[in-house]
Amino acid sequence: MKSTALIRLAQRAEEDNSLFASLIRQFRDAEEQTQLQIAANLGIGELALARLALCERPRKSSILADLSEIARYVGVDSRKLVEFFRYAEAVEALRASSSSDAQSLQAARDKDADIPE
Amino acid sequence: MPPNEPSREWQHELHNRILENDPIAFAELCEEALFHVLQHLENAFPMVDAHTRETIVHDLLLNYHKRPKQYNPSKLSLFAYLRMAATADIRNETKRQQRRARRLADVDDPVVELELQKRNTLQELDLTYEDTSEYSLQEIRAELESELNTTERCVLALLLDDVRETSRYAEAMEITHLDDLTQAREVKRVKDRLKKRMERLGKRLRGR
Repeated sequence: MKSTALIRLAQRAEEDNSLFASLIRQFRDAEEQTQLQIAANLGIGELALARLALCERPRKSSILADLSEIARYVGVDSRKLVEFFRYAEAVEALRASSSSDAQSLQAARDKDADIPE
Repeated sequence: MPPNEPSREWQHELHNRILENDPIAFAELCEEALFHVLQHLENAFPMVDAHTRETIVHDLLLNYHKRPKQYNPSKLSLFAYLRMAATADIRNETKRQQRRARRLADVDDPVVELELQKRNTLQELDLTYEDTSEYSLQEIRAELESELNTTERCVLALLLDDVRETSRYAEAMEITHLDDLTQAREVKRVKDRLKKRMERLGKRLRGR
């Protein structure tokens, strides 16, 4: 009961962009992997993935130190975690950029449509 | 009795680490507090379903994470604050669910059903009146009453007097010797008949 409640909390936390949970969601959506597959790739179980999800994203001023502390807490290999973090952040940046491009394109189209011929 | 909680110093330190965005502090809090608060709710509100209790604690922890400064450590311990907030949230949620259940139950309540039908009937009567502006409301009522038997006239009068109790309709219809359900059913039957007569009258007046 205790672990399933924590796993469900980690899933609810995906909307909070300051938590690792949001990065896990970005990675899951981009790679079309399940939570269990992500956990397996990191060499941890589902409960440990939930603990990771509830960690803060590392602070800009101390990324490696924070990731190292998170890795220790979760029980994941720190190199795997750094790789995962960098990849997930890149996916997130790419998605934000494509979303922004799409919005700019739409705005430009709307502007064109407003100009009388 | 609340479940055991970690020392106040540990809680205070954890709260400060959360304020400083310590990378693992919130996860540590979740691991310790989630089950603690869930147990408290299970003891205090055993009648509330487990899913609702869990959702409330999840929301509470995530809200605290978003706004940790809403907790004032000088007043009470962090875990006591979470228990108190969860208790307030579950009471609000229970009230909300009760209100919703009452609204759903009301749909089947003969008195409420009658009231809803009465509103519809009066709306139809007003519509008829507007559509046939050359007739006064009294004329329309007189026209309608001329087609009704004594019982139906009594029911119409009660409706227009804004009477809500089924028992009053039952008295007017002289059916108080019947059981409540049958009374409600009979009142509804007369109401339906009245409604149909009104619809027909409206059509007839519009056609004149």
